[in-house]
Amino acid sequence: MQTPRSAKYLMNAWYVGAIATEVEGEAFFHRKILDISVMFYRKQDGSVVALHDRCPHRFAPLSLGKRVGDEVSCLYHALRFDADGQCTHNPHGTGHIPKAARVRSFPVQEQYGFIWIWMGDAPADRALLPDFSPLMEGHPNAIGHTYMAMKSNYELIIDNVMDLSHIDHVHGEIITTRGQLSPIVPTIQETARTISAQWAWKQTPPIGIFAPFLPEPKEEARHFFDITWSPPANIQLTVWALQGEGGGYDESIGQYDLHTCTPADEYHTHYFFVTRRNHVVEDGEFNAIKIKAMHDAFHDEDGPLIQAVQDEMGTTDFFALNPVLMSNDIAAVKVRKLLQKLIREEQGAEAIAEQRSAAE
Amino acid sequence: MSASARPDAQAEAQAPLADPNGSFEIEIASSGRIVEVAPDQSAVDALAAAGIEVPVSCEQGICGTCVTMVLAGEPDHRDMFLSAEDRAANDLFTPCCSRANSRRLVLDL
Repeated sequence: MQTPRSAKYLMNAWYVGAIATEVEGEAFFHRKILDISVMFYRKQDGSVVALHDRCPHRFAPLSLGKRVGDEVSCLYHALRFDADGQCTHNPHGTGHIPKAARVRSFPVQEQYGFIWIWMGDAPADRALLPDFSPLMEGHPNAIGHTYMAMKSNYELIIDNVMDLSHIDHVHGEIITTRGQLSPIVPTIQETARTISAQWAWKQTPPIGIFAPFLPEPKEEARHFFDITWSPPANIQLTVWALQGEGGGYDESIGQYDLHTCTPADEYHTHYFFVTRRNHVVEDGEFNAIKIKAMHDAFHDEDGPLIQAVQDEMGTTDFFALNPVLMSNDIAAVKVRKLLQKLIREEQGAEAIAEQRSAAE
Repeated sequence: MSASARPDAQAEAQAPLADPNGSFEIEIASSGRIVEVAPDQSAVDALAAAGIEVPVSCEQGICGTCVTMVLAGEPDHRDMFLSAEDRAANDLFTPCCSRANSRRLVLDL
């Protein structure tokens, strides 16, 4: 029943498997996650199921099969499996169901408009999903989700968000800081499991995504980025602009976003994004334009560049290439080091557990 | 087994440095040799001038490529690479940009 374990990823963690709306109705949804084929579907009560997308008989993807109530019937020879992965029906011979006729099921939880999946062997720990509840506070027309399939290692995508200095160089007029960001060395805060970075600057006119909503769209505004990485691959990013004295996020024009990456394999990544804005919150048409504009910026500007970087590197081992790092890299470097440490600790703990079980 | 600092080096290393941007000494633990770091010079440059190459990349305390073990003395950390925990342990130093709070640092070189 063991699926192949990888040394490449943090396993005992919540990754986004799908946007909640990708898994709807009676359909089966397939996605490769941490080198494993996974199928998702909703039971008749609406709850989500995630199973290894592979029949244990002749390895047909079960997502090609048919639904029988809340069960899955394999297309190839009609073995049937329930939502826990247990075989419930064998139409062949005497109908005997071998003990090994099971598929692995993965714990899932639906939160923040995403379906999160736990791929590790340790018991799923719901508390390890960080609190992103501000995403759910506010008008339904002020939140948008999107997804991009990226041909790169996931850590390059994390680097790209942890190093926001790139935005003046990669992106166009809508989010330029007019050269203000690159000279700033961000303020860093570290905990045992998170890395945060903050940038603060002034620019005239204000950043393009916020300027039209500020009291004086052509005048100077104070701007702030506050980002926090948490394992395995979440970056919560808040960006806001203010004019006049005082004020915090609630008095600002701003948005609260989550970037989160799920490796399909070492060189392919599912890049998920959700944004919640605090202005023109009821405008559904603007909401659609906003999420499309952000999707297009990732897809047309970050995406091709990150994929070209990956192609040029030809490896996932960033530090082995001796990168000449600069002050803008500080947050990204700290995330890479902490992620490596957490993966090493997890593998150390698993090695000890295996030795114990071998000794028994 | 790592090298250890000689007893007289310990005393020298504990003497505080008056000017935070002033010159200080690096003692090379493997040879006992002393390298003076001038006020306008980085530790890496002073070591290179003495024929001791420490690998560097960013030269500004970001990447951690140059991290070196400290056996005695107290670094004045000017990098962003080492965490608060690393600094509290007082056994690592980034010679590309950091200096010393003590008159001498004994490095595991």
